[in-house]
Amino acid sequence: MNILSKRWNNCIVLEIQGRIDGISAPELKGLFDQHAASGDRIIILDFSDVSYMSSAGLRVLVQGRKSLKPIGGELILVAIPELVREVFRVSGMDHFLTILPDYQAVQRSIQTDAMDQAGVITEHDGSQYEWKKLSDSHGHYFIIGSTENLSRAAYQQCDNRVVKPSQIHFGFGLAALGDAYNDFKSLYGETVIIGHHFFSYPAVERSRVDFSFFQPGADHSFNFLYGLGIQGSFSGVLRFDSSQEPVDLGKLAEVAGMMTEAPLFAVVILAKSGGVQWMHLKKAPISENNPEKESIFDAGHFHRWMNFTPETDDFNKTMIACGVVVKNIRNVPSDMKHLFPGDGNMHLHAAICENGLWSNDIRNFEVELMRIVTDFNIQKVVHLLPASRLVNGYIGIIDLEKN
Amino acid sequence: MIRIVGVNKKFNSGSLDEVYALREINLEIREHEFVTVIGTNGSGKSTLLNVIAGAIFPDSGSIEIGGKTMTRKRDYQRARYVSRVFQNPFMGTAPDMTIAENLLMAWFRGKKRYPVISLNGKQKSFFRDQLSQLDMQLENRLDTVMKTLSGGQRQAVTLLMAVLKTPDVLLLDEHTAALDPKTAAQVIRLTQKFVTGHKLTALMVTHSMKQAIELGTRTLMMHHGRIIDDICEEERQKLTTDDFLNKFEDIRKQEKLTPSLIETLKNQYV
Amino acid sequence: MELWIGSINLGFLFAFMAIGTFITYKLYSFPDITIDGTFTTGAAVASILIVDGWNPFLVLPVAFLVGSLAGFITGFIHTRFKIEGLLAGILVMTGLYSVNLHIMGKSNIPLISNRTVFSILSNLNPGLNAELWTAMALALVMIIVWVLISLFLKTDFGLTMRTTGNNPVMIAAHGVSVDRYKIFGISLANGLVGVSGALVAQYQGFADIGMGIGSIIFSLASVIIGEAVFRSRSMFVMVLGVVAGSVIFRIAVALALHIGMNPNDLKILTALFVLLTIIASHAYGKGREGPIFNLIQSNKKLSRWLLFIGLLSGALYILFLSVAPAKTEDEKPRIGLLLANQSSLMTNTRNGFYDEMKKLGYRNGDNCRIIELNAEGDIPTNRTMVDKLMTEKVDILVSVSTASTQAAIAKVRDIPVVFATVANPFTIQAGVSDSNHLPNVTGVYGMSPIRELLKIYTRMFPGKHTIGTIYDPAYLNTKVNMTEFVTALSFFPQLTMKEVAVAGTSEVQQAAQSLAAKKIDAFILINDLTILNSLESVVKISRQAKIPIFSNDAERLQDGVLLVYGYEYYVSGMQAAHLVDRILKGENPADIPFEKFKLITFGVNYDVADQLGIRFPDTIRHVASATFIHGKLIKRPLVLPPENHGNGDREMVLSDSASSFSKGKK
Ligand SMILES: Nc1ncnc2c1ncn2[C@@H]1O[C@H](COP(=O)(O)OP(=O)(O)OP(=O)(O)O)[C@@H](O)[C@H]1O
Ligand SMILES: [Mg+2]
Repeated sequence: MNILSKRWNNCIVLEIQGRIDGISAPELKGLFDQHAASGDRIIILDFSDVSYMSSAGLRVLVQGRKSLKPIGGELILVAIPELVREVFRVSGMDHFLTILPDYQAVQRSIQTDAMDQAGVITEHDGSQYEWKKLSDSHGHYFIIGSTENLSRAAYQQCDNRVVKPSQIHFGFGLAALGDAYNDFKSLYGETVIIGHHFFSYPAVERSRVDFSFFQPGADHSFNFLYGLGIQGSFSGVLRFDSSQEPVDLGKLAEVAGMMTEAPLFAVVILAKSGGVQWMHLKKAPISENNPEKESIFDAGHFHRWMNFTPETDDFNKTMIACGVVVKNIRNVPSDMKHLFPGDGNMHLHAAICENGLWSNDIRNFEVELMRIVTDFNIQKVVHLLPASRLVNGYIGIIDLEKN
Repeated sequence: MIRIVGVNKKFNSGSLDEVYALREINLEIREHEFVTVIGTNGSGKSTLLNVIAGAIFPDSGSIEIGGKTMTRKRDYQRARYVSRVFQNPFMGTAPDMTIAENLLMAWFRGKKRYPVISLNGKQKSFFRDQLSQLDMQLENRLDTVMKTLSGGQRQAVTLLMAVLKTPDVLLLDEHTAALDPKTAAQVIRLTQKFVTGHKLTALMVTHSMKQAIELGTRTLMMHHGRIIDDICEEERQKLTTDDFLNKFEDIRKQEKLTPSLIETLKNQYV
Repeated sequence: MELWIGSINLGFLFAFMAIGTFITYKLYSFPDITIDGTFTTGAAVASILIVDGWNPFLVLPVAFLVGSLAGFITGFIHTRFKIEGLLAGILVMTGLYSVNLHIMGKSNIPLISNRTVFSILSNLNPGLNAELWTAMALALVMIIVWVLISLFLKTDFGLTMRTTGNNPVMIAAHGVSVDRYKIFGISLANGLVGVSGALVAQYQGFADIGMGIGSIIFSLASVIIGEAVFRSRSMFVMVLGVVAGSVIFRIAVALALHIGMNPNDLKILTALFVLLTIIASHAYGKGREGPIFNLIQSNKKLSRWLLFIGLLSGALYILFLSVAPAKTEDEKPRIGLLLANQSSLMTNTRNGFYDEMKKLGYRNGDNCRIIELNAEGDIPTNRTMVDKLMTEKVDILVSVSTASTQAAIAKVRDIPVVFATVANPFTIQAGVSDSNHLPNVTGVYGMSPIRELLKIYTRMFPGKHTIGTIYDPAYLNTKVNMTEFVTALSFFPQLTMKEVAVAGTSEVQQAAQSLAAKKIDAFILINDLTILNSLESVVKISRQAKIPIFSNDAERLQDGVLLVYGYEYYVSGMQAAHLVDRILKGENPADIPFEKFKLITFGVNYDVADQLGIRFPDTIRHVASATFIHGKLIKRPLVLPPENHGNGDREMVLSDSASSFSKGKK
């Protein structure tokens, strides 16, 4: 068997030549998975040169369809020779799979789906970018609490700020879920909020991600020590693909900055990681935890308070993140200064999950983002360092103005 | 059952290759606890077991077994209370003796041996019954010389020998590490069967995080001669192998921290 | 016949030792060298007690206990101080040498005229061949020992012992003190070796300080042979194998002697043999690679058969040899010549014997046959060689040296024995006086004329002097000579003596140095093999410190000694030749009294005198029968004085009026 893969109208076409049998079927499956993983949703199998197909081949097709369907994809078989067609017929699979006679039929079938406009594609430093403008609206931000007490781990109950789920569309910070201070005071941790859904990684030993899915009218409390809340809609989405050489966060922020005129903007990222560097707290920075009254970043305390990646970690994972970027550090609004670390112009928190399939069609960004938030199993929430590198994905941009 | 207080052990003290194998170990193991021990290579797991068994004496600290002070008792003097299985399947049995003779030696664990011949038919049939528990078709090979058995069979016999005369404390030092996965699983099954069946107090060193979580009632993590974590029954329920990995990773990171790295990291955090 | 049954008996006696080695080597994988010493200890304790009048059976348990004690010490230092087994064995063995000397008081104890296990046994003999009778009795004992030892090793205790050797880590984990069991095993083994020594001493008729040397190798060889012949895991078969191995080994030694092999080569053959058997037995084991192993392994059956056929044909050959009628040779007299080692004492005696025999008209191989054997320093071999000479049907046996003579007179009753170069035949119970002695024994002896040497010294250097001497107490003769020395000194109150004892040639130079530091005026050296073998060390110090050497050894004049006065062993050989001649001509040895040496050499070394700035007085110059001057030895020919049956003790006559000489430096 021999397979030729090529692009055609936003879809991937696999032209199969020869036999699909027990020996060659795994190769087909491998190729198939590879394309699905890199975000292709419509995969077309061209059968014109297939001479024979065994039940092993059938199996691969059924599996393929099964994995594509839930993520809005489609497997289309085209130009099946009569002899091979017989196999489908006998097995009853011809009703289950989408089988089309020729490319015109394919064209018709996918055009009905693809009404929306795709974006503008550019190349930059070996990576491919696609920009799609969504709206002209601005988003608003609000500062929650302060980082003042962080380094001395001197937060107290009075520093806790309660935010209700409906008030915060996107956001990040150091927060915990719960109602009674004494219950959650030791559970503060790196937090990210995406589409009102809340994920935090309590700063305790053997941490598990704590989360709360948003239901309108729900009456949880998000308890922040510090943080940033964002309301508003995306001004555009930047899709990037740098499968050759992962590109780092700093660079991506710069490219994103070129897409918007706002000096200060929020980013919501959905991406596949290519080596992440992160940090997170291992202990809640509340005054009860710090009898020494010294900085938790002192050499003697650092390892007890901070977890970090000495080298890049977490390759090929699906990651969703939210944060704020400023083009020029001098233009940071004074109330927000404390949110930017000493060495940088961004502050992002990310939720990291196992790698899974999601579409690479820029039109699907928001849908996919929310699907991941609700369907994927999130392993940890961390503070992202700018040296983190990403393979491909989207950056949704919200231009910020103070509320 | 076992109480270890302030035990320290240094090897090659004072020389260039001084190794602190155990530092300030304090440990109390209650009766019928089945403790699994994991840790990096050279973290002192075997040394801990050796100290309990009396094969090595600690430099300082005290050891109590079953309420009796054992700190200065030699291994053979503790054998009445403590029995052990080693990692090396060749270490636990006498290769040139028969299965029956090996079992007889275990049957006399901690007892005086007299110049009388007690390996008679009755004794042998008792051994046969015991061997049938192993489910390795060894019950009819009592007079087979040990060295002709496979490593897995030997390790199973060693395990049987260790529990033949029910010990107060059973020490297992990576006793399945040298076996193929299938045999290892079989030996682990036997271990569990014996430990729960005889209600033993046991310490098992393993390199398999999965075993460490799934077996036993308590888990110790060791690193650089210290017990860095002691996970009790309830906590273990929620435990994943990732937690162990993270813990060890944590220590590795700690060793990498330099002041300049701290400074860089801090400036990227706040 | 005697030779073969004798070897079987020796094999049985050494089997105790082999079983001991089996325990240490096979069960504990630890070749215990202690037994080299313990074997002698057993013999020493047994002999001293027997001489003391103890029941010879009762000494066996005592020998066992003393042997065990030695083993205990080895085991103790091995386990407690974590000293390697081999080294611990060497330590104790070395220490035992001194202990043995102390037990015995001298280096050799004869048991010829004492009641021994074997003399008691022969009293019960219903009329069988003596050796055969002994063999039968010993076989019975061996069966009992075999069964007991095998059963013991099968008991719980024995099993534990075996496991201790097999896997100490495991058995310790099962509550066994490995150290204690190890100590017990080593003690038991050495106890058995002690018994072996006690029995061998009684069998050969004496205990000797050197009798244990090399035991470990012989005993290992026995164990290994046994293992090769009897391959089994059964304790009964294994222990039986060890006993058989011991017997086979002794028969092999006899066979080697029988076919005329140099006993010197016997040692390397034994070593090679042990090596080959170990390689071969490894080859039987699995997992060995290499062409030889493959060959043996692929032909396992064949090689077993070859081994079997080899042993069978060996046995048949021995049977043939023992039943075949002795070669009916002509009437040529057959003379057996037995030497203890290769020292100059032996060779000079031997040369004197051969030369004088020629002069008396005996031409070896023509009208007589001299069969010469050399024990190469191994004391038990003397015994086997006597057996060998007996099977050669010699008409007369000439034994040179005390050890050989002891072996000869202990065994031989029915043919004449002529000894030579023996210091004191009375201490080995060859007789009670020159004329009252064993009926078939006569010979030549003589103690060094130490008193005469001292007399010469005082003549040369009158006045108060301090003299020094060095000796190695390990030699029987030295012990005798030293007693003589001390007695002689009482005649010369003006002399003060400083003595230093050494153990071996390597200590001699230091001893000489220490004497020189004590400002002695002269070295007076008695005949001591150790000192003679390292005379150069004394000469070196003599030259440095300008101290003259006076020696009783007539043969070392040219080697830096100032003055010698003593016998030439060559003469001993000559005299022995005359005795042989007389016996062959029909005289009864019982009627021939022991003779002392008939010729004394009085030698002076002018070169040394020059170096030391000494001038010999005229009297001495005129009397000297040998002089060494300008690097040349001038000596009167050695001719025996005309036959005078009188006392050969000729006093050196020195005129009392001889002028005195003082020592002065140039
Ligand atoms: N007898 C000894 N002499 C010297 N050093 C020793 C001795 N026994 C152990 N050590 C050292 O002590 C340290 C702890 O060794 P130990 O065998 O207890 O480690 P471990 O945790 O069992 O390791 P592993 O997982 O590799 O079995 C190591 O650094 C080792 O080198
Ligand atoms: Mg270990």
